[in-house]
Amino acid sequence: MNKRHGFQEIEHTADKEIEAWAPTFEELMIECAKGMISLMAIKPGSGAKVIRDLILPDIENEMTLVGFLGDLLQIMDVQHLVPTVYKISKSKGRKKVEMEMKKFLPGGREIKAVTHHNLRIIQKGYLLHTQVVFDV
Amino acid sequence: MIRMDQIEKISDFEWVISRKFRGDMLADVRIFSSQELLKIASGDLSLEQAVNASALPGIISPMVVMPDVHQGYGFPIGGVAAINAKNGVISPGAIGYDINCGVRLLASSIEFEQAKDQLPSLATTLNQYCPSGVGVEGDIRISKKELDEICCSGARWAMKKGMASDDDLRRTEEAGEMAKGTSENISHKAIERGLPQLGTLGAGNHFIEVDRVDQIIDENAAKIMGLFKDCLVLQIHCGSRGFGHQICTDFVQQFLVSFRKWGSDLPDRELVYAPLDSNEGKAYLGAMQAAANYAFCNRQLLAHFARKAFSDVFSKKTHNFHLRQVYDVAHNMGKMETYSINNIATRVCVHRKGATRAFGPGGEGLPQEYSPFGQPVLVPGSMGTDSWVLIGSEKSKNISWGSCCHGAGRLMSRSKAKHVVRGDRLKAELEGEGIEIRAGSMGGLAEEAPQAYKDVDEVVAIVEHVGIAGKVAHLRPVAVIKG
Repeated sequence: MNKRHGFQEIEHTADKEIEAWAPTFEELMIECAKGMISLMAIKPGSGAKVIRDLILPDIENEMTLVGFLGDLLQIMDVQHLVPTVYKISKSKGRKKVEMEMKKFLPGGREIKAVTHHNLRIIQKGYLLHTQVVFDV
Repeated sequence: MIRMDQIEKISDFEWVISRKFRGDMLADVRIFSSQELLKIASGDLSLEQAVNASALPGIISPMVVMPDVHQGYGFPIGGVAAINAKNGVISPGAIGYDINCGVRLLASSIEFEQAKDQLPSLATTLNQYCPSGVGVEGDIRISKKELDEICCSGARWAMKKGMASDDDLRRTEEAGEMAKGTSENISHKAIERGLPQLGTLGAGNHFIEVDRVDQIIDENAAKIMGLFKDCLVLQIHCGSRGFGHQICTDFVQQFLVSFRKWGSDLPDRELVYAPLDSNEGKAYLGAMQAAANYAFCNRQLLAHFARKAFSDVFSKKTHNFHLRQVYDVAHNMGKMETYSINNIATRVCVHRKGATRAFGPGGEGLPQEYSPFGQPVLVPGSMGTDSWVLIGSEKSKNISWGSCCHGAGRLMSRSKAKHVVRGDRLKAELEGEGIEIRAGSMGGLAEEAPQAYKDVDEVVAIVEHVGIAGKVAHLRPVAVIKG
């Protein structure tokens, strides 16, 4: 387990849940995205890279996180792309997420939605931690 | 967690958490369960989520919990809340992301013995005709204008295209068309997801299953429904696909932003709500009904493809290969219904999440042939286990807001199921029992293993005992198609 960044699946009776941690909120967003993709068991194919951007309003971190994961899920569902590289920057009160993405291989498991259930981002020592429940 | 000693026993199958349990509760929580299943439910957040839901403004007592309850997000799966339409609220999280997830049952006159050699071919053909899996698109291409039409007219759109009959529509809850469905407040993101996914099954716990009618319990009701012993039937379990998921996602986010206008505190953000008479509430209601119409249309199209598969496989063997609609019923839905509260006819918004409508004789909106008896209630078991066809009762209107259970209910987490079950071995075991399996993912198959679910027979015995539904027929799976 990487001590500074990471995620792990935690037990949930009916749905899927991850715990993620990272030193900054932007890095935590990336860990949550990696965790979600890991739950979906989706793998990138060998095709060409494409770039997709997301602009997120800089609101409360919990809302921003769910908004980001939800928008990523929507891109994956519609365009069948999975991110391989993420870059998050902040300007004029908004967050910009730039992603290098590739078409994903057939297979995997479906996540229907990202939920706000018991979602809190908390500081533990020098790291931010959160748990996200996904509807499957 | 809520302890067993905090729950009052009314009878062997009825339990109550009094509204005195927590200061913000506005309704009692009435649980239909055996002691054993209740102990399981008290082991996770199911009952706490029911208590949270009992604090929704305008809720009328009781908040009802079914025996197949399990922990969800915000509102428990297997929960029913009736909220006064005059001064109450609507909560997208209490209906679920998969708006109008539901089950359709079609019956045939094909006898199992006559068909058993064709089952591998039938499973393969169904799998080919009914697209399933992550990112898989349908063969039906629709324009934005057609999607708008589907939002308003639901399964009727399929009839216009020659893919549904009048009987199909009559034998669908709401005749497959919720009156106030509109695409007016639906986002571009939802439209992008909805356009390519019409006529697809998806993945997760959704399935198409061919069953054999193993036992008839209520001969009269079975005859009316067209169910005959040893004949094949087909179940379709599916919902509104990415279209509904996105609509719920969008409205939960919007409601969280506007919430401060009418509330200050929530026990769980997934229970965020808006007053039914607010612009926000009305916008969600219209969009939710549009997603429900999409789901009715989606199951109708899958039924059309399934009929095509039956025709391909059986038309040269028998003349009676047609699949007749028994019923199509939702189990994630918000519905405006009328109940007698203190002898006053009261309009309520019934939030059913993982619960099936179970109207008895004379129930509003039932097709003529079912009206004297009550509506069919479809209760699929887990993959590889038996399913039940029940019939709604008058009593359900008095004690459970016209509702019944929706399945077996999960027992084991998905991650645990994957650790204890290997998908390929499970497939081999089920095939050894004579069940054809077509699955897109072995990991997904393991998560849906029978041992990850409660015993559906026990769940059904409870709802029968409390009188909210009666047994009609018992179904045994012979082929399962999963995304």
